Amino acid sequence: MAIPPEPIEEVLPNAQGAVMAEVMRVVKQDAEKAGFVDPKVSDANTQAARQVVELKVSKVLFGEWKEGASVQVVKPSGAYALKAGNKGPFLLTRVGDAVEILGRYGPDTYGEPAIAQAANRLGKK
Amino acid sequence: MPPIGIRDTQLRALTDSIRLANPTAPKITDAHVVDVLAAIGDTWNASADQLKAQLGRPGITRKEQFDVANKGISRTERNDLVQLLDRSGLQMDPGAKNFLEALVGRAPLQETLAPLGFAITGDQANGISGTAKAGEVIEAINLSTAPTGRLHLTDTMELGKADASGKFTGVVPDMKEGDLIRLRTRAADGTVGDWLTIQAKGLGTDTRNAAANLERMDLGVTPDGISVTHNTDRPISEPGATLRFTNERTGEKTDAIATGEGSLPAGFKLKGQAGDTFKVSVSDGRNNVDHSASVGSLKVPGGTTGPGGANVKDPPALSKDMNADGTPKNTLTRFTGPLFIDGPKAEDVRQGAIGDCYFPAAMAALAHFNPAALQDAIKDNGDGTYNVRFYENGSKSRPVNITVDADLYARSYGGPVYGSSLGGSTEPGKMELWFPLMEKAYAQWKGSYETIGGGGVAGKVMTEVLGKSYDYANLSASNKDQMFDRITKAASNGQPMAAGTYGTDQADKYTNTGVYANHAYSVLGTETENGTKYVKLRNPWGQSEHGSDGKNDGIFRMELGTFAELYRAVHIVEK
Repeated sequence: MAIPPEPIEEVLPNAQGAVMAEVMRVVKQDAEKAGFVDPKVSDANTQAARQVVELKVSKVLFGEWKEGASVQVVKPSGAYALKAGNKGPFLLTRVGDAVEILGRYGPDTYGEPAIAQAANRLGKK
Repeated sequence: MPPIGIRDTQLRALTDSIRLANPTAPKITDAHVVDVLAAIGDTWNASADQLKAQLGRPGITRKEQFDVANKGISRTERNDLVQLLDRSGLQMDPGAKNFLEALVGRAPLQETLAPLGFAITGDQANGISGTAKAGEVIEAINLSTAPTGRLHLTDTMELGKADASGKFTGVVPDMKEGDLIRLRTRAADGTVGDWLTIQAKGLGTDTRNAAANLERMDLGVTPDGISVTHNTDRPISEPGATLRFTNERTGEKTDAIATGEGSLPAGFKLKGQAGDTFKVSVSDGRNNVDHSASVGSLKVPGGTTGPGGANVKDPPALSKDMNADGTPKNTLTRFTGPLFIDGPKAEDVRQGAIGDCYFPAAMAALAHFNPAALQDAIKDNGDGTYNVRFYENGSKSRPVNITVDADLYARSYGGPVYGSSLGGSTEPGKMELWFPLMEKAYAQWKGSYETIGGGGVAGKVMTEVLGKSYDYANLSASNKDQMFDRITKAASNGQPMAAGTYGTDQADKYTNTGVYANHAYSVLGTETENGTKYVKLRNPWGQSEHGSDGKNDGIFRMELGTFAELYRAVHIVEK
């Protein structure tokens, strides 16, 4: 469903890091759930499949990740999908052994300035 | 030229080069001052280049630059600057002159001026030009339009980038004579410089009066008068503008001068009581100086004219917003704001945390092309309830009347959970109600918010309000020009339109485009510029858009080819 991004104040406290990064490759792509959706319908209750992608970090806004590092992360099933070359700010969190992307639209959820300002407000370093 | 006694050979060479560069009106600009300091400062720094690097550090403030220079400068060097100020015959930019006068102890440093190295040159007849550090990005915001654009003070647009010689030129699209434009530099590492504000000149007659955004002001009763509060992150008027509040009961007038941030002065109060209405007018000192034109009214909550306390059964919330025992997680809050503030507008509509984008996209399209139809569809019954009329299957012979009250599911920290009014206050006593109540009535008609929150068809909603049919026209690269002509014609006829993107099975084509999969947008019209065709669209979120037009308000234009690639179809209501 294409609903607006979550308020950043609700998401950022759960993030253990924020990085500027580019998707280098899609490592794994789960199967799309089949099902007919009337093409006239917008906001249908469907989700893009879960993916595992490799990110190349170009800048660290806060958190444990390092500039220049490659990180394998999970894009949960949801409203968006990634492909190689996509870039932008990624909010990351650890879930068990995996690293997961936060934010309803991944790198298109919040701009870098908004993340930097909110991180500053919330004391994220 | 009078003889001068500058001892430093590098400084003499610099003044000669400034004269050579502009023999008729040699002038020391802000940017030159860095060269001046580097020329004289090489005795107390390892080199002129090192000092220039120090003074040009990204994000350095004017005060920090002054401290660097003031710490190292010798008495002899100060004397050289006195010679430069008094006997060189060179003109100086205000910022340059103040900096040098502060260094020789003649004047205090004006910290509100921009750091050295960032300056605007000439008038703005052909855009905004100036100098900055090479490679810096120049960001700008029009403070004169920001209040009605509902922008934050930091919602800047990218004006341009300084070239290798430090020069830049750019255009603020909506700039007019007299507008206040605030600019700053952003270095490659993201650090930003101090703000510099200019008043646009060279664009003709100043006919644009200051704006005021009343929707963002809240009146409240306090022991010592009526308070006027607003969120100071966004300007409510142009800096320096005079806002006049006239109490319609007593006739008393109270003026306030907007601060440099476009806010009301701290502690500003009015004389009045609960239930009073204040007419508001504004003047920028050149237009509407007699305050004869009003921008609207504000009412103090309370008094005896409030709506009644009627209660109507409310549509159930989304299942995700319900507790296990069937009670809603969010409380129902009674909203008592006006049904309309200056009529329905597309910009009023904001989709909430519910998957019904097709509904706000349809409502914004109706507000844009046929606001009278919305004013006809929803009526205030005067007893705290509202009647909303839809047409089943778009048939005028099958009207459906729904009665709702203004209780809306609201977040604990304020504002409705589902659809709300954009821009102004979302406080219960202030928010414009037409859109959230249309949505509530639609949920009531269809059964619940859950029923309408799982997707739908924008064209169908428009027909259900208008009692007309609509056409669903598929879009492709091969028919894009034909569709452009059709949209252009429909827009000129006032036919509401919406467009849908492809589903989440094609979600990866949307990432980084500013457009989202499985989403509906209002189509607001077309534009052609230099032979290129564009379609104008609006995201019902009221934010997040394709490209960068300087206003993150959800409204944007898209080149026709991209439109045909990213959008699946257009829904057009019949004439």
